[in-house]
Amino acid sequence: MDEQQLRVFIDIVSQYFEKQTGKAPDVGSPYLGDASSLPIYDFTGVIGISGERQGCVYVTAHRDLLRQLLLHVGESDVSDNNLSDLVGEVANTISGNARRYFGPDFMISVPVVVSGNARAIQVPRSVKAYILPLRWHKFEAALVVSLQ
Amino acid sequence: MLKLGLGKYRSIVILITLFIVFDIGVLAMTFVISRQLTADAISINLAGQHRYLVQKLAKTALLIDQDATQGTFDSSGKSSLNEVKDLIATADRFNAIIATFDGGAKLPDMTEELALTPSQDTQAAALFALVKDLWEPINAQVQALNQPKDGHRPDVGPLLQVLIPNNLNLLSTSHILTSRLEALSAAKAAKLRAVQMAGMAAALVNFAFILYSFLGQLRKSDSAVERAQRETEDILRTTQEGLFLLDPEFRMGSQTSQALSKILGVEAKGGENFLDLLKPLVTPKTYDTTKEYIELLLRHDVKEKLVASLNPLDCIEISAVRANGALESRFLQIRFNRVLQAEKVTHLLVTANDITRRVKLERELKDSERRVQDQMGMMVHILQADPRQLQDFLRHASDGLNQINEDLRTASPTTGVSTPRIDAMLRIAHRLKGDAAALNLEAVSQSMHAFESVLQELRAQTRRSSEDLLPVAVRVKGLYAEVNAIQDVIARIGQVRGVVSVEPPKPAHDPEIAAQPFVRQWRGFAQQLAKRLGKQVELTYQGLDVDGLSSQLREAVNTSVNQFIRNAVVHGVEAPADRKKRGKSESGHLSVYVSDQGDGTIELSFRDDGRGINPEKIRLAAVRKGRISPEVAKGLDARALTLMIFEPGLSTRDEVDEDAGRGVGLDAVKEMISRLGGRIRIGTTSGEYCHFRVQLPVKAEPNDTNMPDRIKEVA
Amino acid sequence: MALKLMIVDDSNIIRSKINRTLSQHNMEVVASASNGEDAVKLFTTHKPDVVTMDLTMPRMDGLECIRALRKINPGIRILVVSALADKSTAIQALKEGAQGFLCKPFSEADLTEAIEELLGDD
Repeated sequence: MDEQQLRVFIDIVSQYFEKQTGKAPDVGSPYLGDASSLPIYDFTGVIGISGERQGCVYVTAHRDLLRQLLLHVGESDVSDNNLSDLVGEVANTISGNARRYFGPDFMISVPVVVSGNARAIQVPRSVKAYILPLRWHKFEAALVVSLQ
Repeated sequence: MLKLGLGKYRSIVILITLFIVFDIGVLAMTFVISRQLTADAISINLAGQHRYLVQKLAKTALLIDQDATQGTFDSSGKSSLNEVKDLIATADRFNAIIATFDGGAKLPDMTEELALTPSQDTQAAALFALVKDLWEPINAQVQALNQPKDGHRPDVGPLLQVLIPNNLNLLSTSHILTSRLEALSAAKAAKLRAVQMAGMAAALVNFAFILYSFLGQLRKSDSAVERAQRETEDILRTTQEGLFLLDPEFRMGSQTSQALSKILGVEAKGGENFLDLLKPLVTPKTYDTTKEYIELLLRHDVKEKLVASLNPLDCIEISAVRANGALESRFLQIRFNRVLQAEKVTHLLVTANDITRRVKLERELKDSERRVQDQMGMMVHILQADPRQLQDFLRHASDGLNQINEDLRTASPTTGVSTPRIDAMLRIAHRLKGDAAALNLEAVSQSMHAFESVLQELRAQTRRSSEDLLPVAVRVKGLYAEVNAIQDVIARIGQVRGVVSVEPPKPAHDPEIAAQPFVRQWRGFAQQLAKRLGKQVELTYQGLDVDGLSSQLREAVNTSVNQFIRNAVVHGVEAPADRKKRGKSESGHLSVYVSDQGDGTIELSFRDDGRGINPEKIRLAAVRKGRISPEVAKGLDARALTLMIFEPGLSTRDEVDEDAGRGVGLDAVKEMISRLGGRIRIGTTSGEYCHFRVQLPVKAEPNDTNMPDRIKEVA
Repeated sequence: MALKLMIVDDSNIIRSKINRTLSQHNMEVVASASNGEDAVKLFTTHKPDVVTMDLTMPRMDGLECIRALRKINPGIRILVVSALADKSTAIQALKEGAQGFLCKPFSEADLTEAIEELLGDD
């Protein structure tokens, strides 16, 4: 169950990069992390999950990665606002696509973007989260899936 | 009386009836008065005629008299005759009027009787009597002329004799009578008019009253409606439930309770289509079923109470996003009740409630029930297990899992996890599986087994992408959770123990160390395993108190013995029948011995009297598993083959199951021992025995796993 | 006079449970059938007043059976007794002319209450 869900999330993110830039990110090997030690980069797009499983999924990326991505899609305005929008869009893509894959017992929220070292992200404390490191043009990002 | 559904309109109906009665009265009065006036006019006219008739009589009489004296009377006397006739007719008319006034008689030109006669008034009656008195002699003379003799001139002399002195008197009396009658009539009319005015006044008063009371009642009922409306509004504003009426076209009534929008989480306005509102909140199937259910209640002869269990909205989950991105999910209960009017369903009363708390509580209860059941089973085993062993296991487990997770984290992004790393993971998993089984932690043991399968699969792959590691991460997460669950249980037991203050176990009376917990556990594990495989074993122990060793040594000894037991019972010890054939006792014998060597090391000796290690079997297995080529295999001697049992991924057992056949156990032991700076030796004779001897330094000198092996073969 | 009842259900256990329960409540079980076809046949000969009806049965399912029984006697009172696997099917059955629904599994009290409700005035 977890495995399929993780695959879905990875596929969505990979496809997003591939469609936008022609190059999918390298997915590093998945590992686990405690709520206190999850990777959070400069910009983070969070979607909440509820229903049968509770928790959140977020994609977090370095400023440089997002900047490159913007330039790739022909956008020269690389202000923080736009970077934040972009990570929101990635999260939005995850949210929108994931809805199709998971049944009605699995509810997915629209994304919220937080920038900086966000403590506002609510991650279930009692379980370990999956960390899926992403690397794209040597820039780092991560997809984090934390479900109870 | 006026009970026929008049209700609150009763008084107004009475008032209006009165008004109509008054109006009819006034109308009737007007009619009567006008009739009266007409009738009175006739009387007055008749009285007036008297005056005229008297004058005419006098004139005609004088005319006849004049004719006679002047000789203008023609010979035939015809004109005089006509005048006499006229005289008589005038007198007859006078008489008829008198008769009429006296009552009874009627004038030929009159249709009705007279309404006003002189007899109605004393003064008029006196005047009338006077008229009659004055008239009587005149009338008598006129009547006397009524027998004319042909050729004779009518003689009006006698008539004139009575007429002339009385004429003026009669005239004036008649005149007074007429005036009197006129006055009478006027008085009567005035009286009637007064009554008419009174009637009209009464009608007006009545009308005013109607207006007043009607308006009052209107205002009163208006304020009652207003009050009712205000009460409804108060209810709708303050109720915690979402309330509204639903019409057969699925439209919501104009009034909805204020809580409704909050409960539904969307703006709900009166007049909207309820199904449209519902659509984004529920699945398409629920939506369809809801439509059908509402139709059922509205249009079908079903028992409301008996279909309530079919309500698809009895418990629906909806979700909303909070500011921090967390998805908040709530549970709603929406119920439908029929609203009947004249035994027909006109609307449905819809009640929406937020039952999140209730549902969550129910779920928590159910969850905790299940957890309690799961934990109960585990708890029994945990209670039986030695606390120190259990702690050792848990520490092992989380160290092992951390190690695996670290391997995952640091894996190369391009090549993934290396085969040696996977072998290391397999060793950890296998060791934990053995330890868990020994502690009777069935669930953990099974999970470890499944984890091993995943790792084996991964190991078989030549290219291992990051994605292939997903199942590993998933399993590791599950194992973390299981270990945590055990820790929870222990914490709970700790609490219970604290409360009940269980007495500490008494030191064994039996000086034999064989009674120590580790030995008990080994024995139990060996026998349990043997039983499962249809074999019999006995385990004996000699030597020092394992409990007294350092925790690291204790763990190493325990893990090693558990793996040796597994190896011996699964591979070494034969089935009882077999053993009997070979002249052995039916029960296999395992002997364990731990001794202090006095040179800073301890020795663990483990010996079984099973079939020993058959190098040929290992040769076959190694080739079959692709570990070595058949050519290389041919070249290996018994010693080299025997040593292969410490290699990862080799098992001579054909079926992989929980008990053995992974070929992991002994390589895990070897890896652990070398890590602790110890060494392991093996001695075996095919068909007779297998003997492991392990030396471990008392003081740990940790070794990297990559250090050269220190295995030496004896025997 | 005791009301005449027909039980239609493919489960032997359910049939005897309904029989046992309602026999004690002034009802006479005149027929019981394990499929729709038999139910229609027995209905014409025994003329019951009340029918308990399962929905998933071999040879003519509950829906069809309700339709057939209503054709014979439009005034028949039918209680659907079925598991709640599919609410939509149950609603369909009620639209076909059954008046009540009882969810399996049920207790004896549930059943008698449902029958009383079914027979009571609106």
